[in-house]
Amino acid sequence: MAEAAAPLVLIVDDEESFRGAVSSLLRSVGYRVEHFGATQDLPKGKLADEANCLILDIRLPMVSGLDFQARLAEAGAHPPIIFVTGHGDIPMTVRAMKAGAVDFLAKPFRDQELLDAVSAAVSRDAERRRAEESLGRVKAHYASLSPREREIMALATAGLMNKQIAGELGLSEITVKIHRGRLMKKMQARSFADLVKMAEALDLERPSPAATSRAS
Amino acid sequence: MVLVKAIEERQRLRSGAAESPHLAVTMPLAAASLAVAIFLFDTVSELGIAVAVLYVIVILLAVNFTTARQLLLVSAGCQSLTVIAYLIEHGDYEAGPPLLRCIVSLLAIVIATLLAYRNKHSTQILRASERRYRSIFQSTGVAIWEEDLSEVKRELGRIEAQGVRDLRAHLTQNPEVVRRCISLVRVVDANDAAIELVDAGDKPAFLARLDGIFLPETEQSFREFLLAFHEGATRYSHETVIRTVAGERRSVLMNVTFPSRADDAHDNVLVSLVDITDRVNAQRALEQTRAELAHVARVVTLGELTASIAHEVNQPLAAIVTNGEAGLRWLSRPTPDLAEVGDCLAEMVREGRRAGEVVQRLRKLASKGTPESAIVDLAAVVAEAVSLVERELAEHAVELRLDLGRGPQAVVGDRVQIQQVVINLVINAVQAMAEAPRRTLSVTIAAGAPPPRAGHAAGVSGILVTVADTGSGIDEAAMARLFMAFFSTKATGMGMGLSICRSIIEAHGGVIWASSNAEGGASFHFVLPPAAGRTHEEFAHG
Repeated sequence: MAEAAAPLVLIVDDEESFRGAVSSLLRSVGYRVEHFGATQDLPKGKLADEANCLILDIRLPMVSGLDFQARLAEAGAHPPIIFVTGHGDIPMTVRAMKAGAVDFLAKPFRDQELLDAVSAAVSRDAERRRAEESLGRVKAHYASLSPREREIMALATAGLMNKQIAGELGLSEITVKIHRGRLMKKMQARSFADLVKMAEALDLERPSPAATSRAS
Repeated sequence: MVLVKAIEERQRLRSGAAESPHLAVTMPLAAASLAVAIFLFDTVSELGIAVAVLYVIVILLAVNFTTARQLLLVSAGCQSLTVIAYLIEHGDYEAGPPLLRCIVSLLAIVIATLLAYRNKHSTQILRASERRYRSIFQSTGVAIWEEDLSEVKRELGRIEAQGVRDLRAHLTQNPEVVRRCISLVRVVDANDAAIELVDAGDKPAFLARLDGIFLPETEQSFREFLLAFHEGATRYSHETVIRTVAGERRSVLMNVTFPSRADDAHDNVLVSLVDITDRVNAQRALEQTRAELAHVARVVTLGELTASIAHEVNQPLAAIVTNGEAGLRWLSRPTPDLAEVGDCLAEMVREGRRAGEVVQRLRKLASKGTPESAIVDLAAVVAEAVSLVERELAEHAVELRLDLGRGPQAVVGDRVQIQQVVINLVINAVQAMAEAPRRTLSVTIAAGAPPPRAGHAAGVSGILVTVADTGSGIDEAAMARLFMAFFSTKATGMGMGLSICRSIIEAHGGVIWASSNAEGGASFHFVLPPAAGRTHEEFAHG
């Protein structure tokens, strides 16, 4: 496995002095940093794919940091954002936190404050990536299931017993059991509970109530 | 003193008083005796000549001591004597040489009387006029004195004879020549107001003190006066300062009337002075008050710039701290990265200096300082003013459009005061756009002229600065009173901002006005004269 690159932090702030100082600070503890003067200068791909954390000035000329955050969410990118501001006003803070920002710092802040916030953001980002990866794998496994196996998975995770599933699908109980075993393996679920979680993650369609009541 | 006596003598002559007392008696006596003598001679003598013609002498004598009316009486008397003498001697009215002689005598007397009468009459009118002039001279409120410049004229002539061509340069380089000329001036008369102005007490004291009332500033003015005199000017006018006998300084407006060149015989000039000390003092006090008011307004403006100030100072501070912290971390690594540390330190220095400059700028803006008059680049001044309020614009999400023309635009004025005006206009604009959907502020510099005003032609072109907004605009009703003191459209407005702006712009020789924009919002304009050239009057009033 390749050595993981240091986390990448992006800074967007119109004050050059601020960008330079924060960049130096973050690099001194090992982060990779790139900074820009305006949100327009951010290369699109980088933001979504590589950045592990985004530091934004809330009052950027032209496009406010909050608006930018909203736009990102719309575009499907969810980098953890730390807002900074030279003017601390409370309504802004509340809005920022509600919109899902990791933290909100008022200048001037102490270096430890910023580093803690970045650290939290980076962990959050790592977790999110892991979750995404995990989901990705589950999806890939699911794609490899046959239609029959999918049906059975849906019914089983809905709470039906093998006998009921068999009755529902017009199969023998044994067939159902065999399918179940196979799909467990394909999905790489270690227990039934695992399978249920995966089904939830995949957001499988639940069978109609009529089927479940007939079964009971 | 010889001078005093001469003056007294002149005064008396002018007032038309008679000659010295003993003459007043001998003349009529002589005339009377002469008349009697002629009468006797005429009656008695057998000579074939018109003795009665000699009465003409009596008439001529009488002119000196009689009024016009009295002269006619004397003449009538002589004529009667002539006729009586003839009658006595020759008895009847027969034609013949005696009658002819009588008629000739009568004619001579009549003609002499007529001429003498006319002369007398004119002299009387002249004397009355002299009396009137004297009384005006003496009692008018304006200080007037009369100077005899004949010796000064001689001195200037001597200087020229020495080969001096440029008198102005000569006098500038040799101030002692000017002083010498001052001492050559003879004051021959002065009125009551002049004595009072100089606090001399009485005429002799005044006359003795011409030197004393001149100050170095007055000497400069005297030099100009000499040059004007030498070049044959008819008038000379100057504002200058004199010193009274008590040592007080008085500002005066001096007006000199030179005799016309034709009148070379008399080199006397009339100098009138008006004491303008009060006016000059009031003007100075007004200037000072204006400066203080502008200062107060600047301080108030600073209060409205809190966002900018806080930011301008906090920004460098935060950068300094963060750079310091970063530097420490670079140093505490297993292998300290000294290059990075160097960068951090350099940044700290840069930001520290920047903070210093910001404080400096803000202090200058709040300073009292006497208004300077220097040649400044209006484009740079406006740009700096705008940068001071950049944060305010960002804070209120106002879009800024800046067009400062091409190249430097030189004007004469005080940098801080002009910036005060620009900042005031910009802040007003930002506040006007508080509720507007579209917030755009345009600041432009171009060549331009003030709009024509009632009764004046269009103004002369200068450098025009316009601050335009897209806000709520200006009411028709408010337009006329916009720049008046204590007029404000804001609920908490003091109403001084625009009137101070106007006062500043006008002190710079410019014009400030406002207009409504077609697309909504208002524009404020001010024009300043470009550095090279125009006078204040030409510019502001077209």
